[in-house]
Amino acid sequence: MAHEVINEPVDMLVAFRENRVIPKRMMWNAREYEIKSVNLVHTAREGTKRVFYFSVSDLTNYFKLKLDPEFLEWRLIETYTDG
Amino acid sequence: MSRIILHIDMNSYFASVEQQANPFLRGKAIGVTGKRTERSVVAAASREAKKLGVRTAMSTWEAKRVLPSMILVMGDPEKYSDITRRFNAIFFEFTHLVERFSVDESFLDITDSARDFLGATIIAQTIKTRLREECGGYVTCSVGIASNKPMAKLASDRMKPDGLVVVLPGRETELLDASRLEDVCGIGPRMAVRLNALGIFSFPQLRAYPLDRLVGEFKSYALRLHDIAHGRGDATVSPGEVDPKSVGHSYTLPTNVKDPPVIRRYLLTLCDKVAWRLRRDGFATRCVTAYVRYGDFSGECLPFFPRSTPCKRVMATAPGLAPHSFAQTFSPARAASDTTMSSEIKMTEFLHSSFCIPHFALHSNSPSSTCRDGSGFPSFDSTVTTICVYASYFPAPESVEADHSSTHSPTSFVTKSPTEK
Repeated sequence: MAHEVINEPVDMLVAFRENRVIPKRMMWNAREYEIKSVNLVHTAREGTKRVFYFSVSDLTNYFKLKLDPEFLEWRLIETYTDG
Repeated sequence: MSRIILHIDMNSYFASVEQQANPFLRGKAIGVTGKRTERSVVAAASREAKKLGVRTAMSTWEAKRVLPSMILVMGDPEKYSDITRRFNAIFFEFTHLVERFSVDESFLDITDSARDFLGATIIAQTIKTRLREECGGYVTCSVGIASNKPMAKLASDRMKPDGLVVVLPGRETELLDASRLEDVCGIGPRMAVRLNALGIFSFPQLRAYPLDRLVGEFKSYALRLHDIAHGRGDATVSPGEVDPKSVGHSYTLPTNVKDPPVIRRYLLTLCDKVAWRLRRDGFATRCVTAYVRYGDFSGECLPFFPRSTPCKRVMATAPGLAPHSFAQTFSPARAASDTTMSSEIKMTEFLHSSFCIPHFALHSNSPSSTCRDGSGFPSFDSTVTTICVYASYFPAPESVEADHSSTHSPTSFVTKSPTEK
């Protein structure tokens, strides 16, 4: 297993369904990751701003993504790789 | 008609939330900690870790010794707060009588919405389903249903994880007789030792014990013990959160420390954090306690502001507001003997004085001895690993107002003089 704190901007492809944002693909470090599962979504305050965290995974990696609704920016906060 | 009380207890809460977020942690022994080092504590152990002997509040060093393969995960308080807010919202779908007992435990009075215990069971199952939908399948809860709060809590503790236990009215003693004394909320380890000393080791024995002799030993608390033994108890669910009893901060040092100035610096930081929270919440305090843990795992409570002092209230206030001379001269020993001392002593100043004046100087070279009468600070023979500071909550007097102009913290409080209107 390997846990890494990243905190870098990433490119995301998302779907909007039933008033929800569903991350589908992530481009990071010249690689594309297909998100298989959105495990948990939670919010947190950053000063007066509310940001969204998405805990998602593909077949071997866990990613924690942050969506800043003010700037519509996605960041990869941390990764965890199994094995 | 008896009340219908639900006690809902989230199972291995923080660890379950982490396992819900990261599927690669599921089925593994994990411990949620404050720091990813061995000098921290396990705030929550996953159910897999618990099965292998790890307990909540164990030091990570100890937990790693018990279970070397345990994965340490850094806690994420904002995540837990958000999930807590969500499951509380689910509870309010069924009743407005929701009492938050702790971050992961709540009491619900569903007498009106359930009507009977069958209805209560259906509501409990619905809450479990809603929780799965809202927070994910790995975040589960145990539910106890009974006619009062102690029995509901005991019932939820009986089946973990993901349990549902119903105690029908009149059958409480069956559950009690299958439980240990310490299983019931209100009977802690020290109370159990005192009961054992009277020859009481089980609830049938507690029920059979004469009430007058119980009163002789436990005074007013005897009635509560008597009620508990008969399956009776408080059934009043007070909406909102239970009023806090104390505020505390603790810190495990990065390395073992014996240097008095370093220890004093950490103590002061912790005291400042405690005082800031008291100010923020509009509370004063009557008792401040410090606790240090040594490298050999022994610990010591330092009653540097003992209850026996004549000071009725210690105000949490911004530094600089108290008379400077007081900060220079104050000592708990003097406070204990000085009946003329003002009842409102500004806490931060007191804390500054407690740690800064020579009276409290730490003597690392002297033999290990603690001045338990509050006349001084202990000398340290062994190295210190952890420092904690606690203050009991006490409602701030009406003469205290929020001081929004203070730069010390978002909200500080100043005390008006008695003549000021």
